[in-house]
Amino acid sequence: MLALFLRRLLWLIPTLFAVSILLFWLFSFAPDQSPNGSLVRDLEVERVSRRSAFADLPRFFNARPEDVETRTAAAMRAIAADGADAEEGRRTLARLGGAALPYVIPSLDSFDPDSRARVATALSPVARRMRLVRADDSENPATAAAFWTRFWSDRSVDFRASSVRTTVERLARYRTASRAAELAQLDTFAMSAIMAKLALPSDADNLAVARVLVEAAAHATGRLDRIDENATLDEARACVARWHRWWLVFESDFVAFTGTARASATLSETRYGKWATGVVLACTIERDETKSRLGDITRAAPVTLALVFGGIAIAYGFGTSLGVLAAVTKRRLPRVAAGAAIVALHSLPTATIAVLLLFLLPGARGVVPGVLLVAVGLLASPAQKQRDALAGVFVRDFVRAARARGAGEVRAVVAQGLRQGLLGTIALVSIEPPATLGAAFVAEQVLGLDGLGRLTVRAVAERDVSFLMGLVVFSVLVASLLLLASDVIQSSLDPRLRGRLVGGSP
Amino acid sequence: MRPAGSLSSRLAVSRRATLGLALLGTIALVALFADVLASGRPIVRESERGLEVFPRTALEEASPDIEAQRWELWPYCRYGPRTETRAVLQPPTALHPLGTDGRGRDVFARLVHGARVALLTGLSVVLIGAIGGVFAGGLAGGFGKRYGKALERLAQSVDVFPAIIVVALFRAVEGEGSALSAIVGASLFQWATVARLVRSEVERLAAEDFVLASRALGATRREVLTRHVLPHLGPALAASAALGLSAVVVLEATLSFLGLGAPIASASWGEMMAEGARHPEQLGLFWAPLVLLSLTVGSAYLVAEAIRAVSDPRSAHGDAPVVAGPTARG
Repeated sequence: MLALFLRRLLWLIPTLFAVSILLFWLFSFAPDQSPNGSLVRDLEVERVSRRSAFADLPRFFNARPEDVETRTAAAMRAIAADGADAEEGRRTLARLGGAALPYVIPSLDSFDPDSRARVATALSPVARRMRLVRADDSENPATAAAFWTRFWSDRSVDFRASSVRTTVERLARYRTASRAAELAQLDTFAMSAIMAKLALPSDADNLAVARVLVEAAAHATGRLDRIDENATLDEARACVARWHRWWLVFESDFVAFTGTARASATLSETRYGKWATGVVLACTIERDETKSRLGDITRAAPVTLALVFGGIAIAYGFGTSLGVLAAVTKRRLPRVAAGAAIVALHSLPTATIAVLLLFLLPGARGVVPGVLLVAVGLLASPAQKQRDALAGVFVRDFVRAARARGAGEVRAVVAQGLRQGLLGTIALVSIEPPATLGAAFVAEQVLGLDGLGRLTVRAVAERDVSFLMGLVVFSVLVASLLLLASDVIQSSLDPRLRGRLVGGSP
Repeated sequence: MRPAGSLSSRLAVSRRATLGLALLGTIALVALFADVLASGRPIVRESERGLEVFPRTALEEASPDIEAQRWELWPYCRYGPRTETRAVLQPPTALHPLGTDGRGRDVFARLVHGARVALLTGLSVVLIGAIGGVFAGGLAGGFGKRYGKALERLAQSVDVFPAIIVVALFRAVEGEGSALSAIVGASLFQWATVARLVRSEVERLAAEDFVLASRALGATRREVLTRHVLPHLGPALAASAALGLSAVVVLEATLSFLGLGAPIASASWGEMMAEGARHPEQLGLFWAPLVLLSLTVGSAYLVAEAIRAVSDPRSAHGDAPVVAGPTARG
């Protein structure tokens, strides 16, 4: 039994994976959002916005993932051709910075003298940023190529992953200006090692490490996001989380995909890969970030879950009792009244009950009225189910036989009827939570509660498809676990149903 | 056997069915003739161009108060559901039989046109769900256990999706709101409900004597399915459709109540209830959509219950199959 239960539990992983892929495929056809509302298009803002939305990446498989090497090659070609794209190429090369040097400098000799001079001078912003001695030489077309060739013959040994890691480690340990200057001379080539070392600070010492690493990253990339001297721990953590979110988008500008990294980049450098990595990031680095979507969900989910499960518990408690009463009563008037109550409750969706509640109790606020509101909206379903199930059980031969042998009314109801009737009710309650979310959202809106409903409405207004997909996957996970739990309970009540747990069918 | 004929004769003597069908039929008539009841355009107009039915002129749409100079027959209410006037939150008057809402729109006009939105959305979903469900359920029930298990797994997977968030997802993708996202989203759930029902009914019917006799006489599986099994699915499908209709009407109202449904400009009972919740002092705005929504949902439920009761004597208080799962409660 336990093995079978675990097997079905494990099946949840590929199921959720398949669900997320299906949803992602379906909703990747959503039209792009405009990056800003201004009529004048800022191409740089638009470029950053498109990259942040991963709009230019393929959906599931990237046969040719772009990395620093391919971007550098494209930029060099544009600069060498000196055409309309040359200025964009220069900007790209300046942005790629030190990470591009291992690909630019060795290939300088392959250009003609004029192109070589243009490419070499395009690196002059990088030389200034690296605070190199005689950086002015890199601005002069006559000396720029020689300047960079000399630099590479002296310093190429530093542009190795192991050396960079050591440099970053030394900066993190000693946090001195000289170590910072040493790292600055590697420029963006050190970004991968810096980001690997940059963890969420948990105390004052870690905060100091994060501050110097963020400072080094900000200097290399030109991003104006630093940890101030007086920053609190929360502010520092938020800053680090923002840096990791930024790295998720722009990592391929500073990293070369070779070997196994290239193989994994075919999957990770896709819209789905970025979305999935973003979810992991949200669950780890950004989990405490006050402005993160996960933080929003963490704060809002308890309210919604309280409404859903509280409402279901109360509705099934009262509803089942109402159903039992309706089934066992012999007199016509109470039976008709119970039937009429069920029809009336069926006819009142939660939105109508909510409006009535506002009319009768205009000042009603809080979770408790919300739970009651959801419960009233759900009451009819378990009542009807229990009534029908019990009525069906009472005419069965084994109940008649029990009565014939002298079993009383109460024993017939409790020992025979309820047990059989509960099976259907448990099956119904297991699929109730996803369907009850709508009622919970209505209750939140009417009673001014901050739950997932508000986040959903906000996400729809902002067309935040990624967030909504995450919410669907989260809901599916919770509902699947409940379904599994319900199967186990039903199997324990009726061993004949164990086959369903095995095969997944009734 | 003539299952449809016997069902209709039994339904005719059912008080629940009579009441439910009468209410539902009335609401359907209101939806069908919404333009005759409330519109910013005359129903018929005689002009220099001859007799025109619902003439499309911007003049009447923009200012229905203008005294027409020619022979015209106007609807009961001379305002369309989108027409905004300066009379904001007015009590009922001769011009506005149920008053106006916070944007100066006629409540009666929005109410009758809201019936059209609700029923059209519901019927579209029920139709799509029935087509998909009968096909999938018939295949699963009639062609072996493997299909049946696969369908059960698929239907179980559909059950764990929250309809409201899935529809919200479609709404976010759609951008400009329309009823389409609700129809597409709800259809994804409705087909599974119908398919499961059809599958269980097909399996039940396959064990009946007349089907076994037909098989014994050499009928193929397909012949048995199309000639003997599918015609008997009518009552179960009708009950499922009625419950499905009520569930989708509730879902549409809930979405509109939350601001996730049809665009604000188009009439929807849910949006009217949200407006009523903001202005509870406006009784027409408050009660009218509430009553009409409850009547629609209640009458559909009554019809479903009546069909279930007459099609299966056990189910008067019996163990008839569940005819519809909870698409969304709201």
